[in-house]
Amino acid sequence: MSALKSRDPMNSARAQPQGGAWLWPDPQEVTAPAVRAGRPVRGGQLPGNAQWPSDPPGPFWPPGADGERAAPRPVRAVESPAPAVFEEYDALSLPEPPIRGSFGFQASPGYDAAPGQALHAPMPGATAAALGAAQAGRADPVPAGPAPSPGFDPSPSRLAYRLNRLWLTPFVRNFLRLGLPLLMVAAFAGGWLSKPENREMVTGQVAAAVDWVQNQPMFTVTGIEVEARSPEVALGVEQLMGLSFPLSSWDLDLTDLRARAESLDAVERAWLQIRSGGVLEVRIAERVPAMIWRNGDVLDLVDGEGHRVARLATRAARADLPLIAGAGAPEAIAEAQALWTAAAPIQGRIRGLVRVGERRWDVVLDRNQRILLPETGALEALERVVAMSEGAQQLLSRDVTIVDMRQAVRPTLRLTAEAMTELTRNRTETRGAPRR
Amino acid sequence: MTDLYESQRAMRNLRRQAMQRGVIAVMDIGTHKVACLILKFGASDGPQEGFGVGNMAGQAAFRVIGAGTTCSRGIRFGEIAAMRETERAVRTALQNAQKMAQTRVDHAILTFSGGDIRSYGLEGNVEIEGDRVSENDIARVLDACDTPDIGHGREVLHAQPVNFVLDHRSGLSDPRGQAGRNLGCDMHLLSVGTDVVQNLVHCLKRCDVEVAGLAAAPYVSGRAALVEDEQELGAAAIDMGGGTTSLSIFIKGHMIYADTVKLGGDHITGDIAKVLTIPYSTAERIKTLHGGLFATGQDDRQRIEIGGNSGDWDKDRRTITRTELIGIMRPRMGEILEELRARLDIAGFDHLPSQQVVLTGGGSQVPGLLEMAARVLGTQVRLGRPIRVPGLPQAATAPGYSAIVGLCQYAAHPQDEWWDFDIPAQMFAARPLKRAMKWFRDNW
Repeated sequence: MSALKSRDPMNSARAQPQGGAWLWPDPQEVTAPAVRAGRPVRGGQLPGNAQWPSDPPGPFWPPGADGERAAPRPVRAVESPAPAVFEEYDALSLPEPPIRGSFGFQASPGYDAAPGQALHAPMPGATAAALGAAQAGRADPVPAGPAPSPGFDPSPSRLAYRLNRLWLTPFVRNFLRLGLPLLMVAAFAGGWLSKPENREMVTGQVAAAVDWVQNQPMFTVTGIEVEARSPEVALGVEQLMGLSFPLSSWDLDLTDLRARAESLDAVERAWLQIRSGGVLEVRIAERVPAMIWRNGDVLDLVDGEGHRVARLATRAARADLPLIAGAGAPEAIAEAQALWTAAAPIQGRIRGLVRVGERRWDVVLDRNQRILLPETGALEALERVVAMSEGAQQLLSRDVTIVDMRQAVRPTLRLTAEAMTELTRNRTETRGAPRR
Repeated sequence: MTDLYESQRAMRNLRRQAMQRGVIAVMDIGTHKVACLILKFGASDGPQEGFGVGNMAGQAAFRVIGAGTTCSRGIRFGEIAAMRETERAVRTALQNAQKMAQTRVDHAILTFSGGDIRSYGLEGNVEIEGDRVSENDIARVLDACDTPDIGHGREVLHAQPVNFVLDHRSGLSDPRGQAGRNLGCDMHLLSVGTDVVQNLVHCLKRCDVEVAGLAAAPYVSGRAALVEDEQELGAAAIDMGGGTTSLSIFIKGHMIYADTVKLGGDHITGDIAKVLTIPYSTAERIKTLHGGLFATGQDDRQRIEIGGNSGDWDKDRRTITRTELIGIMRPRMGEILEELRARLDIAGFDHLPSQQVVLTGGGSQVPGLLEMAARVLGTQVRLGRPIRVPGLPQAATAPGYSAIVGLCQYAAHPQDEWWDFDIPAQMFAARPLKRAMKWFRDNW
């Protein structure tokens, strides 16, 4: 209050009602700030020495006590009203902030409201109270950005409108966004590849890349290891594969190599594996020879399924194996083995089994004896012969050349000539018939 | 008349086609703004029982997927005054809506308030052929309505059967299958100037969009602003637009009267601009921000800078009080309301059981209008906003959008009109094959 009193004595004197008369403007009443319409024409701060308009409000102001509209304006001294009023406001009585820039006082800025907007912006020197007053004075929202020029037309042109509609058409849109880029890429790629040197370059690059990858050390195979029962077969398989090391594991076609290994007759089955350390491991299951097949002039070993195993130089090399002969003998080797087993009591005398006409077996014994077996039921027939020879009859020890079992109901024996003569003589003596 | 019948049927076929495609635009071409909404129709389960008798009834389930509004240009009193300008405005609104919807539309349903809408009540009467009312009887009674002389250069915009009378029983909405002898029908017919409609259709055609339907603005804004019981019990919907103020009276769910007054909010703006000698746009801004109809003591204190762009400091510094502004607006609004009162009196609104008046449209947002309208139009006055529609942007829920929102509803649930019913079999006489086909269809 003391600060107030230390101010202009004339002002404090005006604030007191003099003689009960009502003085206007009442410094205690805050007049409503004028509300702006249209564009902002003025910022919150007045530049330079400008003041609020000193012209008094309209004739309706202040409203009369009885609400009468056209109250006569109270007469008052207009010595210096505006600064006196403003001194009551703390916010405005503060020293004015410095004004930047070269814009001077613009009473009516045009559409280009850049200076006016710059005045709205908080200035570095402005105090907080002045800023608050500036914001309180801004009733209407200030349009953001520069005001549109008078000739601005927001409507799209006919062409722009049609293009926009075209762009919103799904087919066109999908085509432009997906189809056209793909087509262009395809066209460029096709055009580039149509030149042979480009194609060669591509294939060369690809081959080089493939080569580089395949020749990495982890793919190198440096040797082969064949595991077989007999060293001959192992050597044969190794030679048959014909590989020269080192090479890449990408170049090895294991299926083909396996087929090649199994093409050797002695190999029943082969397992191939590229072991770590770059070793091609081949494990061989060999065929086991079961019989010897005399095929013309040569002797071949055959296994239990009739498959050829190896050439045999002499029969004596494998005296433990039975001999079969005749065309088509290996195909019926299962029957031959059964016959061989059934003939166990006379095995010592058997020289071999002969396939006759690719349909039935003959058992050839020493002393030029032969057992002719039927096409079907050969085993039973042989068992009968063996039984006859092992029993009391001792059939095969006798002077018999051929035991013909081909007709099961009528087994036939062929005797030697001496035996036949002897038989005839015996019969004649027994019956007493005349000698012829 | 048959020409119109055919063209309206063609429009309805176009609309059905657009609905099958799933997307249709609705446009409100007004004096103040041009608004466009794009509707997406979902899978419809076809016509349902209880939704009316027409073929299109019950095609429900739509959603607003795009909206565009622009300030309208070249339109006066709801009619096109400058075709190119209007076309630009329509293009702007359509493009904005299409951009929002991310789809293009080829069909649009229009509403407009110009064209000097006139409303007629028609009635027809026939003896029914069998002992029960059949489809053919309905067609015959509609055909029996005597068409008034609507004048040269005018055509029918709406022709809606609003009531059926069977013998002495009135107030039937669907008399099919009912026993009786004498079938009568009341129909409400709305006519507009042909040239106005032709201009609108041509304008849309220049924007590469086909018109798939037309509706009068008072009808559709009434459908949006009136709630169901008001439509049933009787109410007047007043759509206060920019250049025209339109009026429609509903009872028993049907519109029975529609009219327009060629006065609107733009006239108030013009008054302000003329009195204060300020630009039209500034006047519009002052009106929307500070306008009112009843002055109070506070309004005397509130000073409004009216601005100006003259370069004359004194002119651009002028301020007015809000009371002065109200003093400019009030007489014009009073004139509009008096004019509406006269139209309501002509229509016999006083004799309706309910005297409800609903104010809607952009002009109805003036503060104090409710009190003022209550003095002129009667005590039962309320401000109406459009109904809620799925997907409608918040900006389009203002009263100024009640016409276009009603148009959405109209597109989804069109009312049965004259041309939706079958042509009576007698008119097939020249086409024996078609008649035979119809006989087969009816009897097998």
